[in-house]
Amino acid sequence: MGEEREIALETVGLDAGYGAAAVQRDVNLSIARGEIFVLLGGSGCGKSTVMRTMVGLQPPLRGCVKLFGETFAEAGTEPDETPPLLRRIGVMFQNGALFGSKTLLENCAVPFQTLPARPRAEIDEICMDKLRAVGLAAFAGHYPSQISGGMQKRAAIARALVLDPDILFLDEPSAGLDPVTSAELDDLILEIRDRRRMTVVMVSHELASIFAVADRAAFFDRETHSTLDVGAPAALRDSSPHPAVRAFFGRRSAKRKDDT
Amino acid sequence: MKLRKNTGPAVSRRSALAGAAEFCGRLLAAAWRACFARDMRSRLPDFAGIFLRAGAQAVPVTMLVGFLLGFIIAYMSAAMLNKFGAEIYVADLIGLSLVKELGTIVAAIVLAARSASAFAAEIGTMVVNDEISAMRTMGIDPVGYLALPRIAAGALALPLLSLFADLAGLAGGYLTLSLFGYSAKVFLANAFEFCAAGDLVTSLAKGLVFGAAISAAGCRCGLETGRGADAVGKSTTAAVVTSLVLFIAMDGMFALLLSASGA
Ligand SMILES: Nc1ncnc2c1ncn2[C@@H]1O[C@H](COP(=O)(O)OP(=O)(O)O)[C@@H](O)[C@H]1O
Ligand SMILES: [Mg+2]
Repeated sequence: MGEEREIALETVGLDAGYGAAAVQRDVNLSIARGEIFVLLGGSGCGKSTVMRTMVGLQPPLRGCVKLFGETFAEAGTEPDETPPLLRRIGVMFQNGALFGSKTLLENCAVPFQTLPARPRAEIDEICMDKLRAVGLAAFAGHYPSQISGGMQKRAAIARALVLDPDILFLDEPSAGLDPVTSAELDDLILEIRDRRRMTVVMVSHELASIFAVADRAAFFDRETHSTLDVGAPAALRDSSPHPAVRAFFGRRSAKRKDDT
Repeated sequence: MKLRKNTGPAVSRRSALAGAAEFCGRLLAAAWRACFARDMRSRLPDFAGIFLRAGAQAVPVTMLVGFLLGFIIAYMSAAMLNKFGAEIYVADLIGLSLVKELGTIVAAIVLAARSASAFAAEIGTMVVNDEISAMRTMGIDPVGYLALPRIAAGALALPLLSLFADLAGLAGGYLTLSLFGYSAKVFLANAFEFCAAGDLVTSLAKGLVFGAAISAAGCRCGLETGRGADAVGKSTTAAVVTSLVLFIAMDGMFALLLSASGA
């Protein structure tokens, strides 16, 4: 990493959790602009919790979250009403979290409500663009209940992208997708990153997807509530000192490659 | 909006009263902002839909309950007063009690049962589905966006529903008296003998406040929904119970205030 490395998101001594119980302790990550960063770990280790803390939905139990060098969330301080930094992030939740009473097009238009008024046609145009990008232009008038789970996730990505955020947070975007759709999603993520140097922070279990898109990854451990390792996926797979990390990448990718 | 407020379990360590006070504060702030919002027109279809469901579609059941109540009260009273040949006073009794209290009570119970519960279930499902979290990451205040139109619709619906309950109750009362051989003309002439127009205005104003309170309780229970499969069921139950208790407490307070002020 050169001197030009511009930090998009930084967590400093962050404890994330609910009430008094920290799910992950002392998370120190520094994610550069344009980087695709993956949060890894066994189910229930707190990946979603860390992500919810990063986007300001959970107050940090300790430490702080900084976006573009500005403190966004800090333990023990009364938060802002509507931090302007919210404009710069887009979030896709684990289950999509689309508004059930709205069509996909209307879902994508919701974020515009916080911006100065614009002509309806212009908003629809932008929304259709994003829906087209995720391959759902034909379903713009459908309700979330009328499309499949994978399509809901893609629609949720379109909604997260609609205001052209600087950081995109994705919670398990490819879980439950078929391999072809999943690969298309990887391409989409790479493309939006390359086009706008968008930073992407995502939770993923799909090894293929991690190797296809991730620049770096952090591995969280459920038992010790700590970050075991941070690094490029291949480095984690081949040379992590932690057996749990190698085991995660194990068998399918690591061992087979070692054999040849 | 408290952006980073804990969205964890509904049971918090704060006292229930402090939580309610905080919610009221957020509500007032949201209402204040809404007064200056640029495109309230775009929210109108939302409001209209809620009003249709909470108000218009509640008319039949409100009238049914109102009619039954009017009929039963009139019948019981008439059976007693008949002994003194004074059954025509049933008309006065019915008119006065419906306009002053019963119409509002029927409408309030219907609103709590039909709509406070529905608000809690709708919003609670959105909590469980992370839709509220999504809203907050977009910088949208769920209180302003979800609770405010529901509260406005409930506040408008309750007084109107109470009018329908009054009408149906009077019809029930008239049915009784017609059994005793009185004409509609005589019934109507007596029904409003002890009511002034002011009574109706007071009770409509009360209805406005109760409608807002009942809807607010429903929305708050929805927003406080916890995690797990039974969470939405719990908040729906809590919504009906809370809104009814709140309504009765407020009605009692109103009665005290009005009698103290000599009305
Ligand atoms: N709202 C909540 N309140 C309390 N505990 C929670 C809440 N959400 C998740 N948890 C707990 O936090 C832990 C981590 O959950 P999560 O972050 O969803 O894991 P992951 O996304 O890594 O699978 C789990 O043990 C879960 O039960
Ligand atoms: Mg998760």
